[in-house]
Amino acid sequence: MTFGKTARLRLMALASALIVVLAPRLAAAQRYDLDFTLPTAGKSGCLVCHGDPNLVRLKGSSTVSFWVSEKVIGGSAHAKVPCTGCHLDFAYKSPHGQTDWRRSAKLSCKNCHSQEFDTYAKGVHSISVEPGQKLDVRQNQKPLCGDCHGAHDIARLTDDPKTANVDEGAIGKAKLHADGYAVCGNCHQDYWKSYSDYYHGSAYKRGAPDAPACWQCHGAHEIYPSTDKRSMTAQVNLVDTCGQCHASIGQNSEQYVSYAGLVHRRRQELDANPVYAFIQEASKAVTGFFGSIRDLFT
Amino acid sequence: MSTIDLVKLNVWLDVIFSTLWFVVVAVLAFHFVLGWVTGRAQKKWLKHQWPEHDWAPPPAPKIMHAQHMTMMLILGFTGMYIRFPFFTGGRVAMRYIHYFAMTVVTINLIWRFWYAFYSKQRDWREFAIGRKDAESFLGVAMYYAYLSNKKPHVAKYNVMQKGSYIFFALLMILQAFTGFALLTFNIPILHVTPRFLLVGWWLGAFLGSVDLAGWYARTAHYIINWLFIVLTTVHVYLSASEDVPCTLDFFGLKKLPVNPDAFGHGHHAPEPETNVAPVLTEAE
Repeated sequence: MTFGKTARLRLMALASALIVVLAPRLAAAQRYDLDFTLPTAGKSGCLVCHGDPNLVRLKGSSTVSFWVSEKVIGGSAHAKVPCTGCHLDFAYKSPHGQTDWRRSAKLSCKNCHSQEFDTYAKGVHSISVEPGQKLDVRQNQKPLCGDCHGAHDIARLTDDPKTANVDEGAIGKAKLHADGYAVCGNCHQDYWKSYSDYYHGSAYKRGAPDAPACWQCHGAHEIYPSTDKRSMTAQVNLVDTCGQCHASIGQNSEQYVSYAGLVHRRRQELDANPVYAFIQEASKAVTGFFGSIRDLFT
Repeated sequence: MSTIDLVKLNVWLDVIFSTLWFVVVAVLAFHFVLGWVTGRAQKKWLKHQWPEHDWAPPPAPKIMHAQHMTMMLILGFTGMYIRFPFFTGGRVAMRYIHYFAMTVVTINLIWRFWYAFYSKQRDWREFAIGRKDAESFLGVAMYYAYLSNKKPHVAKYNVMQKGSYIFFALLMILQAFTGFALLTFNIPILHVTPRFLLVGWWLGAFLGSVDLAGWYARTAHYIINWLFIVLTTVHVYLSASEDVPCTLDFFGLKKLPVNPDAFGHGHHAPEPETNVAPVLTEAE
């Protein structure tokens, strides 16, 4: 049985159409099957190597893991995004070349989340250089999307309609809410430590779901210094910022400076309190006295 | 009030009251030692010469007291946790436990006032301070300060006990008031919050913000909480050091020996009736 040229062309067109229609479905159904054939379109190729927990490199005296947990990324908001969706500068050779791949990946979010990136670009965290460009020290310290949001474990903040029984959005929001240290505190250590007032900071650090995370008062992407009138923590905006939770605060924002002053200044005031300082010194003296007596006998 | 004032006020409250509590504990420890130095403690603990009683407390106030004590301990613990969370993940649970205990204590308080003023027993006179009580104040104070070995006896409770129990009742009312003033849910039908109803409409109007009024209510609530802690510490110490048998009886652990003639207050058991006619004296 032989086919004419037209028939062959038709068969090829049908086969191509089938591949176009069925390939994504098959890929979705078997997302993490080992598949050496795809260099760019899915995770499975990458996970041949990066799915191995033992994939490490020795850098100086430390070991750096290049393992990507299939379970973690499969449960994240980006489960269906191919690796190359974020790792734009991926090169199919081993190792993958000397690209600035971390910075590229951490900034690639803008390709889908353009609105968030636009607001981030206006705020104090923005940097005005492209990946690969040399940054000065201050610019180098500024966070990219991935520095705050993480990488492979970014949770969904909305419910997935396909998994209706699981409240994914709420779980993701709760996870994000609890991640204050990882998101902000990791760099802003002083502010993290001073966030220790009674009903906001101390409660937040002890897992209170109704205590505010950093960004609920300071903003998330469009962050400005409190001296800037656009800042959520600028005095002129305190009524709106505090009013998110404290509905009946009145219209005089000066009163709310009192509240806001408590949030990051309790520890500072406690250390400056003369009675507390005296007790601290006295307890040191007593401890020292008994320590010196103990030393006499030992 | 400026920023720094409000921050300082709260820090000062923490420091002053926690220091005060340690000072009170130290003073009570010193007082206990003095009891042994003066020999008063030996009489009680070694020779079992505890104060006499001409009347034992009835069951209802004892049950109420035990329940009240439990709830107050829960309130103190959960309230302190809400201000100073010292373990992870307890805020929601602690709040609801606090609300539950608050409800029980409020019901208890209302019941205790009814019991004191309107029940068959109506024992409010036991707590009322009269002229004789006032006159005995110096003597009672001297007894507790080890300046005298005789404690003036006027009634079931001495004047300092009566004073502290009345103060407790006042603090309870204030604590309930300031506590309810912290609630910000909308009351059905009225469509206002308990905060607005209790402090918002007057203090809030004065300060310019209902929330700020709530802030002052919270501060007062915290101060009263410390007063409870300090007074209860003294109360527990005196219960244990002054009259262990009565304390044990109050918790139903051991029956209190009662001597109706101890103070000549006429708490006699009724005498058996006889058929002999009373002998009239000339004066009658």
